[in-house]
Amino acid sequence: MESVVASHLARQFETGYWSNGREVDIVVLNNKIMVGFEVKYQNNPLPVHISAGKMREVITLSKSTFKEKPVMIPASNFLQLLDV
Amino acid sequence: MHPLSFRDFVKVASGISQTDVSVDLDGESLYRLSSSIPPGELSRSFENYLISGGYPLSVKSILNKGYVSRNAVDSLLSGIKGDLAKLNANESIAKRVVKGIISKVPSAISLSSLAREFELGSHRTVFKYLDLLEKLFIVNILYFIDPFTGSSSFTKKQKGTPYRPSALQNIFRMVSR
Repeated sequence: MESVVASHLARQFETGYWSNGREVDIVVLNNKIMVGFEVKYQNNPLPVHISAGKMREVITLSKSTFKEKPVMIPASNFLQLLDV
Repeated sequence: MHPLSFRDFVKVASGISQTDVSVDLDGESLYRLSSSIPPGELSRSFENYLISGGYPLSVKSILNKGYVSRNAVDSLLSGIKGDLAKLNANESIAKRVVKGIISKVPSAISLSSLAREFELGSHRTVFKYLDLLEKLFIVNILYFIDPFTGSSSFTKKQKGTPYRPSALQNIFRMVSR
C-alpha cells in the first residue's frame, strides 16, 4: 500500500522517506513545505504523531478510519483527492 | 505505459467526472475534504484498483469481468519485455532487481547490499536498472530526506517500492512458473 501512495505522490511532488530510529514512510517536499505520510492500511490503527525539523506534520493513511487530531484519513479518500 | 491514478480509475469505473479541487497537503484541509466523501463509497473501487494495478488492460478486465484476465497480465508482461529490449537492457538482471526490491519491501536497502545479495555485480548496475525501471513505471525509488535540511541523500539506503505491487506479483507468479 505504501508503494501505491508513494507512486501517486511522486507524480506531483518530490518524495522520499525519513528514518532515525523512528521512520516516516513517505516524506513530501512541496514548495519548501515538508509533510510526512505514514501508511497504516489495517483496522483500527493508531495515528502517528511525529515532528522533526521542517516536517511539522505526519498524516496517517488508514484503511477506513478517520481522526481529526493527529490527522488520520482513509488512503482511498486521500488518493481520490489527488489530481494526478 | 503510465498506470491510471486512482482518481482516473474512479472516473473510468463510475463514468462520472470528478470535481476539480485544489488540494493543499496540510492535515486540516485533507481531513475536511476527505470527510466530505461518504464512508465506504470508495472502498470497493479501491480494492479493484489495487488488484488491477491501474494498468489499462487490467482495468478493462476487472471492470468487465470482475477479475484480471490472463490475457491482460500477458500483455503487460510483453509490454515490459518489449520496453526492456528497446532499451538494450538485460531482462534477467531487471527481473532480479525487481525480485530483490519486492523481497525487501517496505525496508530501506543500500544499492551495494542489493547487488551483493542478488548477485547483480556492482551498485552501479543496480542504480542503472533502478533508474530504468523507474522510468518504465515499474518501481518508484524513495531516497532519504533529511527533515532538518530538506535535502535528499543518494548515499544513504533507499527504499524501492514496486509501482503496483499486486500487478507485479501477478507477473512474477507467471514468470516463475
